[in-house]
Amino acid sequence: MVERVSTSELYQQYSQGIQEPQARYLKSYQKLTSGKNFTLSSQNPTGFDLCVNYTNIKENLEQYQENITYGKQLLSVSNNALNEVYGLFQKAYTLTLQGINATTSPSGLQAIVQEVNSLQQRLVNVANAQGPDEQYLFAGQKTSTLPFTVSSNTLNYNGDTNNLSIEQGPGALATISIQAGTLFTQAYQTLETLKNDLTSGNGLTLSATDLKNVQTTMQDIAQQQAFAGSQIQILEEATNSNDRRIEHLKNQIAEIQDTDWSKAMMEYNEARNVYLAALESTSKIAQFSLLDFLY
Amino acid sequence: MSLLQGYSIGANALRNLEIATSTTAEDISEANNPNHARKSILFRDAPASLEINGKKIVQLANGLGSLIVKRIHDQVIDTNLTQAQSKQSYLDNFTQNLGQIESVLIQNGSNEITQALDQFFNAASYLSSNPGQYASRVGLQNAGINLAKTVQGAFLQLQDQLTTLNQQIVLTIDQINDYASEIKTLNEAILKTNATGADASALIDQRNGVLQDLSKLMGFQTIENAPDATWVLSGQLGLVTGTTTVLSTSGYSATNQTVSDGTNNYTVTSGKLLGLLQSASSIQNMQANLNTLANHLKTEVNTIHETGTNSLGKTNIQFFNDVATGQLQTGASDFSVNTAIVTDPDVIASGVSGNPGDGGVALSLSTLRSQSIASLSNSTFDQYTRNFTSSLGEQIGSQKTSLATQEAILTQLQNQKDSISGVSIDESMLNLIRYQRSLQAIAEVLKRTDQITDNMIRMAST
Repeated sequence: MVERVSTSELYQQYSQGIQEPQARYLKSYQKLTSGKNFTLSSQNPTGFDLCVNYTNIKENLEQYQENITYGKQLLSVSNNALNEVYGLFQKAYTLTLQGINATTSPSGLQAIVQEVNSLQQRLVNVANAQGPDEQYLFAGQKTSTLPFTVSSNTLNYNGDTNNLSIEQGPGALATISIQAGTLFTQAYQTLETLKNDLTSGNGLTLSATDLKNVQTTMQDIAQQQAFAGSQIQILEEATNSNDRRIEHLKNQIAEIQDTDWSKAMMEYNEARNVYLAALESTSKIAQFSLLDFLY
Repeated sequence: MSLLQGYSIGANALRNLEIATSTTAEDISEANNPNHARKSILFRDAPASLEINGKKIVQLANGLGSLIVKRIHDQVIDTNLTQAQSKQSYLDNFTQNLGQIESVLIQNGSNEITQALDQFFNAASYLSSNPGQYASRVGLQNAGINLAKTVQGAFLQLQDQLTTLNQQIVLTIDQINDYASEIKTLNEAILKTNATGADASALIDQRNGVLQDLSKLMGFQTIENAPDATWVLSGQLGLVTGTTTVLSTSGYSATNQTVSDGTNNYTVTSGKLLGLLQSASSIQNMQANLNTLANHLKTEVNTIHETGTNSLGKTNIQFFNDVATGQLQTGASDFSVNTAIVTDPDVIASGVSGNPGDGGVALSLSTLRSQSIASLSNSTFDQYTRNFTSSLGEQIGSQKTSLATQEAILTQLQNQKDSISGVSIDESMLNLIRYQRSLQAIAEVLKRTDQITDNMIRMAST
């Protein structure tokens, strides 16, 4: 028995025949123009959630990179200051040797004392060095307090013994400050003692004690420099690791979310052709009716 | 048979063909009315008469006597269609509303709240690394304001949607009451019309139309209580029986998906009304999630921040505004940053000691991002937010699939109904041609009969 087709059913079929290809065409167009496979969670709940998660992790890593950059900068500046102090004590070493030399005249000794005095002043200046945000580099966490002051020929430390830290990873801290309170006060004292011994002309003390103290101070400075260097190295490694992870996450996000252009273009062309074919065929079929043939 | 009988046969035929033609014309005029059921026309012979012909008694046919006009429909398909329509309407409405909820949480392809959370924790991380810097305090201040505004904004947008939904629920209940009243009126009209012997098809079509419209709003079953009196019931609710039950516009419950007549509660099983009620319930659930998130953020962030001392030497400062300990928290509706912090970022405490280089408190805020909170089902803030967002996404995806399936079922049932009840213009035109030819033939018969009668009269008079 032939199935009966009513007029409304006929036009319903025509309408559906256009609407379905139209919807597919629109969907492929949106995919092509947005460059994304989905923009809502409902379109791909798993993919969307993964992308949100990866994006969050990536942005966290980028924040850590920013922290690390700041930390490296601060350590670098601190290390440069230590380098300068090391240079001062290299000069102090030379001056001590000159002082030990028996051929040096009293006026010569006086001149050396003046130079050591000058070294002390430069030491204080470097000890009170400031970073890019005008924070004192060697004050511990009291970064807005002048860390070193001179009183009665003694260098006093006004900072604290807490470290400055940065978050270089989830819950992972890296120290970015140098504990220099004791280092600089003792260094100043070493120069003060050297000055006194030069003034008194005590050659024995100069060679037995002062020279050794200057060497010890230089070693202590080198130790702190090594610490700064190692911290910078740790941060460099963290930077490289984070960079790799960020790149990997970017690729993963793109793989899930971004449109495959060549595939999307093919789908678009196919959907477009099907839609045009539907429009053309419907326009022809919908014209036919018995009414057209009745006289 | 006498010649006069020919006139009688012709007159009967003309009358019946006139009815057939006008019935077919009515069908064609109603071709686009989805509620109109086409009519089938059955021609019936007039009763035969007996005549004595010589010594024999013979039966004589008397031509076309009457015709039966029958409304063509299939009650089973109609019932299935009504139920399918109801379910489709529910799924369509619910899916759309869920989509609107989703658009509050997800904008420009990203989850707004997780993004704001992320920015807040990153700003805390930056402050922990640069505690002496004013700009890093401003960063945390802005991130905190953004987070509070995003969560509060989402809550208030959902509140607006809920208000609109409640208005729609009231309107829908009013509409249901109107339809029920209309069906009752039509039931009475159909009964009266049938009692007079007139054709009640138009009224029946009209009632079917109202039933179709009602099915989009609310699921129901029908009972043919008396000939052509349709009762409408939804579970225990007798919407249209001998009387109508008027639903209350204030007695509904979104949580339980029930409506009330002021005395009893009735479960809504399908239709747009169910979609609206479930949507309202979904919004309330989502708001509860946002309240939980806001309250926990207030508690956890404030607990950490209050341990800090700011550069002004002050301690025990809330970061987010919150009630005193022991009082009921207010959730997301008024989620905001402490006014003192909004006014002056230096009020933010980055460390416990108050020293400019102390970033310990800020670090604790930053590491809060990866802490599992026991009362958030041991999720981090980010996981908690992503969970309720992705659950919504999955639900929408599932509803869309169900909707597509239901629409396919509805289309098929509609096609089945159209196949049986729908008017085919081509078919009706062919019938008209048939009746036209019959009319032409009958007219010719009458004309010839008239001529023969005239001839016989002339013959008799000569």
